[in-house]
Amino acid sequence: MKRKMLLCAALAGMLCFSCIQAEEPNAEADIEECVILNADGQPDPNIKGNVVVTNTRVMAQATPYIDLTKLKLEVTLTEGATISPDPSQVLDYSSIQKFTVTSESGEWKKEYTVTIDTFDLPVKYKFEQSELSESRKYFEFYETTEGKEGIIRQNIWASGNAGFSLTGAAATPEGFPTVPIAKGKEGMGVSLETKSTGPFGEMVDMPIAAGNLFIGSFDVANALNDAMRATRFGLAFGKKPVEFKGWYKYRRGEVFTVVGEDGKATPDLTKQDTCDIYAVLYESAGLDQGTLDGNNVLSSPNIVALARVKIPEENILSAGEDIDASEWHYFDISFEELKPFDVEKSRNYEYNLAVVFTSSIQGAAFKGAVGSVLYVDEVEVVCE
Amino acid sequence: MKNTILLLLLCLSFSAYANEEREKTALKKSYFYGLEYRIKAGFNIGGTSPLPLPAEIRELKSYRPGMQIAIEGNVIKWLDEQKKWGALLGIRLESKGMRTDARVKNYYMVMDASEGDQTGHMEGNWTGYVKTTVKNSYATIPIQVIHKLSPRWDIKFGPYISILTDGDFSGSAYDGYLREGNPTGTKVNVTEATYDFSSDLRKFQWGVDVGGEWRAYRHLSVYADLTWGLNGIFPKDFKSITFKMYNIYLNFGFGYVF
Repeated sequence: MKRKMLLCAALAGMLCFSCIQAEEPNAEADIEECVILNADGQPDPNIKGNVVVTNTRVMAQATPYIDLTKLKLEVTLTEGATISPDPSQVLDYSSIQKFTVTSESGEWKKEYTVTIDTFDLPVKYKFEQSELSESRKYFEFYETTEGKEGIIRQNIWASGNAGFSLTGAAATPEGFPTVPIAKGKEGMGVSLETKSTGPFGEMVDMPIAAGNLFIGSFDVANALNDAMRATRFGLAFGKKPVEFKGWYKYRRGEVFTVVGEDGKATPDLTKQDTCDIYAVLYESAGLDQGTLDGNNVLSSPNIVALARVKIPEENILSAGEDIDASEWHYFDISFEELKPFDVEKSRNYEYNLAVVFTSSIQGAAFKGAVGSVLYVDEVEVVCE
Repeated sequence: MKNTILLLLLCLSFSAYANEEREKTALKKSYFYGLEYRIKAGFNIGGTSPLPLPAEIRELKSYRPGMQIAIEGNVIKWLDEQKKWGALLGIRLESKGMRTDARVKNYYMVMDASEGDQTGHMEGNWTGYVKTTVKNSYATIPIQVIHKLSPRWDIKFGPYISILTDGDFSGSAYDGYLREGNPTGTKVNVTEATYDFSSDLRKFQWGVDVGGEWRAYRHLSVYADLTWGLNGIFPKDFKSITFKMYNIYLNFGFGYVF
């Protein structure tokens, strides 16, 4: 009897562990991958570089020879999800196309915009245009070009703001590392500031976030587990850059920190923070996802030409000084050719251009000084 | 010095002897009044778990009860001549805990943290693995009706209240991804992120306790009690874990009946 009772009690106690309920249908509604096909159903050869798929956008660059009016998409969706209109039908992509993906559960819907950009990358950056992200949490910068059918938006700029957003360390869009400023060199400008990521940043050993802005895309999915590879630098470019110029201001944060064993920012008083401004042209063939990332953007053998600004010490403000009241500094440097420039490859868009700004030079490794601020405006990549 | 120690030992042994004498008389007196004393030592095995398991939990990869000890003292007041029915009051010092490793899908959570003047907020749906370590210490007071089925068998039933004396509820979310805000939000892969909700644990717990005790020898017994928590281990406004978790443990071991 005693045994029976013990058994009963034990069984009742274990009951809670034994009954796994039936699985619910998927609630996610993603386009996971997208291939752009011509009317015959073949991958269109006029697509340059990678098709970038973010949480709500599909963006591709194409040569002017593409027939935007007759394209199909081959999409991979979350298991069980559905999409409308049907992207496997021929549609006109000469203006932005919109698709709605509905989750298997039917409960969640997400709208995607598909943009196929046939214009070359712009080379003059005035940072006049930014808007709130789809989540309404942070700013995103973009460029516009005048096309035959009006103004074309080019989402060429990416930043780590989407990663910073996860930590909830900023209550308003203005509290993010990468924000527009009203007083640029001319009109608006951009401010990049190294910020603390708060308690959740420490939890993943990323106690600070440098403000950054770069041509390319930010792979937020990998922002936490492989931050170096989350910054996908560069987009397809068909010209030969020779000169890199623009305006900046820099104020150094007070205490340089590294990542401590507990994931917290630990001061390293032997070091001082610096910003980084550079432009790099590289060959995309053979690279992971066809782009350079935080690991190899300055060291890859694929680099064809590099222009990296040296910031003179006298141009650096120290903590507490008023950056808004200070002078703008001009830089104008030549691209250094590290590999012979191949005109044929350039013409075929086998080269990518990345323009990169960051408020902490070692920000990708989460080293830097909270409070370091870099202002940038009126930047240009002069081409042959 | 040596002498002092000797003297002290002597005094102690004498007082112990005197105590024993006094205790014996006290016990006899107690017995006369229908009072009985028991002490117990045993283990807790069970879980701190939502009931029923929500659909978000897809798999329990591992469960380890760990070593959870309980020591207890009881006073029983027999209410009738035959000593069939009685009331039991006790105090139990115990730990309740476990380690689990579970796979969850689309599990909604909100986390807030602050540290100095910095705050963090994380909200979204997690798909991946969650490791949890629970090790809570309680001072528990059971109040039970006791019924003697036979000279060897007692059964007990009644409520208990527990005060948390020390709590640990921590773990990590690993090998998965978070969808920021809701299932259509930005997807972020996470290799590992640790959490610690120890300071959010509720100080007060209550529940019911059903058990039995079997007298193996005149003084020695074996016992088992199922303690079923009826309030969640986290307060109502705690959002990081969206389902209520309850302490459900089997307490078993040996008792000494005076």
